Amino acid sequence: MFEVKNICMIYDMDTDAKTYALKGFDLSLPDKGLIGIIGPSGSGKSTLMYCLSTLKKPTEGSILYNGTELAGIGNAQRESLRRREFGFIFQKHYLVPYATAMDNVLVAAVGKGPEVQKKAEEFLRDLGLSEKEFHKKPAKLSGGQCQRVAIARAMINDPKVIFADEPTASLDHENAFNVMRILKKYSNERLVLVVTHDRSILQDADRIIEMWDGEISR
Amino acid sequence: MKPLSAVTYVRENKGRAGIAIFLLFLTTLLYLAGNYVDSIYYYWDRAMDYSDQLCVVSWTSADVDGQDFNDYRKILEADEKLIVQGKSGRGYRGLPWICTMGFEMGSSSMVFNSPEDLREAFDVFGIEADLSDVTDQSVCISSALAKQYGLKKGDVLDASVQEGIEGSYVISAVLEDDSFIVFYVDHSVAEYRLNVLSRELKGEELRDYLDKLRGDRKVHLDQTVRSGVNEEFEPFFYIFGAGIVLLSLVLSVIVNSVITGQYVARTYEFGVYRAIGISKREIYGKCAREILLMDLIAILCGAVICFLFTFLANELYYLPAGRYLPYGSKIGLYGFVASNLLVVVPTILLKGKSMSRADVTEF
Repeated sequence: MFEVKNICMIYDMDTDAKTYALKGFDLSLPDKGLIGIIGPSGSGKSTLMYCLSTLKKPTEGSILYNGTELAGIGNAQRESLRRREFGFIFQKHYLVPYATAMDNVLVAAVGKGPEVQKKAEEFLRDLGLSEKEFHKKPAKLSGGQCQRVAIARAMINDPKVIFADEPTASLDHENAFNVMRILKKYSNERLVLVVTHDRSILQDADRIIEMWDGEISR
Repeated sequence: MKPLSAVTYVRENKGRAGIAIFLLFLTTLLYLAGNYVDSIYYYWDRAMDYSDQLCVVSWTSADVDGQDFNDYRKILEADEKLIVQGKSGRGYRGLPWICTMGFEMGSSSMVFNSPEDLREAFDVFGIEADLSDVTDQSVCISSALAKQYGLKKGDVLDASVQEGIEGSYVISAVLEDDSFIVFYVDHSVAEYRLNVLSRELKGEELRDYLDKLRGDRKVHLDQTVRSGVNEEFEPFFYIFGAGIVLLSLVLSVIVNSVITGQYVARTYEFGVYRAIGISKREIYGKCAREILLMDLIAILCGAVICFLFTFLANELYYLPAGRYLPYGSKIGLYGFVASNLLVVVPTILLKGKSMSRADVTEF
């Protein structure tokens, strides 16, 4: 699905103190499976994910997504990719605080109408939320429930890739493993990339990429 | 419920939205301020309307034997569009009055030779009043002016009421309008002066018509009161205009900084929207819709409050004192629109731009 060649990301390009977040490596990612990217803070794992998901443009190198060079596409296409083919789960749930759980899922939905609403309800139900909780705002939900709403938001358009950046960082162990179970299930059909520095949550990963100082160490 | 709708944001964030709405509401107060300034015009406007329909024609010293004047008089009297009256030789100034803004203003006056001339003029002006008691040496004033001086029908207007009035005039009618013009009836024929009225022509149109009829004759035509008054009032409107710009700029800075604070707290929200592929245009649109909705609520609240304030101010304070605060004015409307645009447009542009660039990777 992804073919990364000689990817390089330099922050503060215009200054003398250039920071090399990615130091030029190749990487190939399949169409499905749970891939863990692990490494300490500053190793470049989040930067890699941002580049793959079009949130950042690499300084050098190329990223082919299903044969399309991501550097060559315009903003509208990037937005469309992120909307239709990619899903995002962040370290914090980043839900809209004044919207209900249901609306937080629907905000990402491409379509409209009762079918989408029904789909969102199914997702939330499958993720363990009760009907009563659909209409609660994030402040009235637990951290684990919020993260599950964020997962439903990431999945609502059946994305081909889910990018999860430290998805369990703010969760207790039980909730963390619940979230990983959901992502593992999704990875049976699609690609799920999980960035983390917690190796224990990647027990079921199909592949683990270890990063160190902007390079793939293993 | 639409997740990106402005209504949802306002309904679910009443506190935040309320503060922004209050600040935007302040722009509507400029409408009230404009009406306040325009109140001067309001009283003059009708007086100017009346004087627009009457032009005083006078002899000039260049017309040594009065031939030009007499010829012109005949032409005017023969014209079906015009009503020609002999003008009274007396001339009186109007009564000073306290305007809504609290300071003293002068006013205009008209003097007619006879009750019949006054009735005919009122008919042209469209003033409906009981004129049965109008006699020579009488005066008609508006009810607002009567209230300011504490006068009523039958009272006497003389130097004890206002310094400078020669003789005494019985108030023969109190007119149900707000014009501060004084209509005197004082018989004293002036040989070489005429009141020329018209039902069809008024203002500059009447003057132009009379000018065309005048040709080369050495006769003087009075200008409209309006042109003189406009000049006098111009500074008020310049001052008001400058005030609007200043207030709008201050408001714009305040509203912008308050709304900026509110949006900065929401940067992650917009960053997430961008990350999940919601387009910059949609994000811009969301910001614009939110601000416009809050503005609409502010305008509606402002309209109601301005109306209620004007109503109460008039009923409880201004009208009993013979003053009036208009409910609407062009200058008020222009002031409000200018101020509102100065506040809303930069806010939308700045917030829309910064929020559509929010980047989730920077949190």
